[in-house]
Amino acid sequence: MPKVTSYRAQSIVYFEGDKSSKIHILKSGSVVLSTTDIETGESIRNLVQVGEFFGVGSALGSYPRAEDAKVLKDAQIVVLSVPEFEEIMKKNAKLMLRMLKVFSTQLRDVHSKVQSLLDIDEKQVDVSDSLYYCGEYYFSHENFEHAGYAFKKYLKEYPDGQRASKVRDYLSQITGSMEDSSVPEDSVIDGRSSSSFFEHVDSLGQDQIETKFSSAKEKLSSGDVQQAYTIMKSLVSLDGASEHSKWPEILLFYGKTAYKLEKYQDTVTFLSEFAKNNSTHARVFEALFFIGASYRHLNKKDHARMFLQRSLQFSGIDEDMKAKAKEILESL
Amino acid sequence: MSKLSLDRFAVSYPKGGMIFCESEHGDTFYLIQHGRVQITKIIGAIEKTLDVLNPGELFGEMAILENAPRSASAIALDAVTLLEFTKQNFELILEGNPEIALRLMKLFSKRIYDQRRRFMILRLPNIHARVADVFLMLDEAQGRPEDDDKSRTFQTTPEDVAHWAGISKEEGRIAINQFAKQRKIEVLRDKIIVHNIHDFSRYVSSQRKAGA
Repeated sequence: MPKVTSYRAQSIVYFEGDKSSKIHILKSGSVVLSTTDIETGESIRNLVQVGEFFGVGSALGSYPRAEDAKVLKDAQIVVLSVPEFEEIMKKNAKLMLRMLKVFSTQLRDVHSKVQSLLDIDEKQVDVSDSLYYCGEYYFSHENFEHAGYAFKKYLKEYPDGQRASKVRDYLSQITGSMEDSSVPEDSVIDGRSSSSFFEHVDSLGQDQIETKFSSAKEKLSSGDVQQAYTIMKSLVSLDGASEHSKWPEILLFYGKTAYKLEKYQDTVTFLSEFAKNNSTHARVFEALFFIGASYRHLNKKDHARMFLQRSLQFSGIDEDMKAKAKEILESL
Repeated sequence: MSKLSLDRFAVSYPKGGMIFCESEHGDTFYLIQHGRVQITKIIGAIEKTLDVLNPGELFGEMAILENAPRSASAIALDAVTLLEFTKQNFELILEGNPEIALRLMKLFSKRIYDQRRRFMILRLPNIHARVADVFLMLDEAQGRPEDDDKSRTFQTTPEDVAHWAGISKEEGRIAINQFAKQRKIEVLRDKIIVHNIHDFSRYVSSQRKAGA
């Protein structure tokens, strides 16, 4: 049975972070919920109306309370277990639908906040590309049914997409192989043509890395650092990127782009990875210089000094980089 | 609404049939009535099974968010019958079926929390902090062990961690290797051990303050 509990003014029903499976209804008095806005860090206060439920989401989803619940005026609060709450809800379809709408609005809201952050940071790999790769994956694994599904969706969603003509080629191959389904399976794609297919896919991947890398370099030289960074971000998530012959240069370039965007910690991360595996690379001084310069921004003067001095030990270091390194060293 | 009238919203797929493919846009979600559904995602060059769902379970529910691209594929593992929800029939079905509405409400609560948590991770200023915070999130989800030992074992992979951290696989791999080199974590075939979770917690909160 749901029980009614009395709370004195100023007492706490629960704290943010508490774990509990209880759901509350305010019967009388006054309760305020306070939480921190995840976006602005400001505190948000909401008064609970008499008759209103609170603490529902955390109890149902069994996660920690997302807010503090504090009593403002002496209050009577009905405390329910999840099964008791469910019983009440089952008899009140309209009420439940209303709550569901509140939840879905909250979900939509927080979801779009998450997407906005992903957008700044990665602009995400093009969704049409992902759909295409999905089809290509299934095709290469001879799952023609699923490949066909993905390719057809591609054409439906992006009839004029960049890869539409390739998709049509694949689809005609798939229809061909489906029609031939009476012949033994291994002749659908004979050994030779399927191996050349794989070579084709491999070279596709490698080309794509080259293409992206050059376009990122172009963007940077035309001054569009953000775009260059975005392209690099999607490049490093491609399959086989770290096996590519240009991987060291990719890391170096990525680290430098991150530096220009003041992502100093990330610069240190990428360039340390570069320096660790490529100690004999001709541009290793450059990596050491940018690691040192990043450490200065991160207020780690000893680290900054160490890396800058190491970069100066390379005879191949460019004159202006040398000058900059010395300048920073003096300022430390 | 009676069971019979729900039947007009039912759809069937043969075993192996594709219900939806990752990255396609969708505005429907499903409740399984018969059979099982496999949720997969192509990660690296492998199609990985994320989950196998049974009758009574919902999937694709993120589609209620303005026609978003599917984050994974759904494939019929058996011959399946599904109840297909659309913007049009959604309220009609739920009003007559409070159990389904309740299930959806639980799922939304969980998703709201997951998204809030992900938002907190993405706000962190660098990839190491993000990776560390993903481990804290996983720790919150699995609950504190009885003896409050500071070491934690997670059934996860560097790829999954990278996904949650909103960084690429390579970045995830680099950050994880560097943590491993500092002996903060240990990466095994199908699990990752964090030696001192409190250490990560202090690190993340200092980074969060620095980023604010």
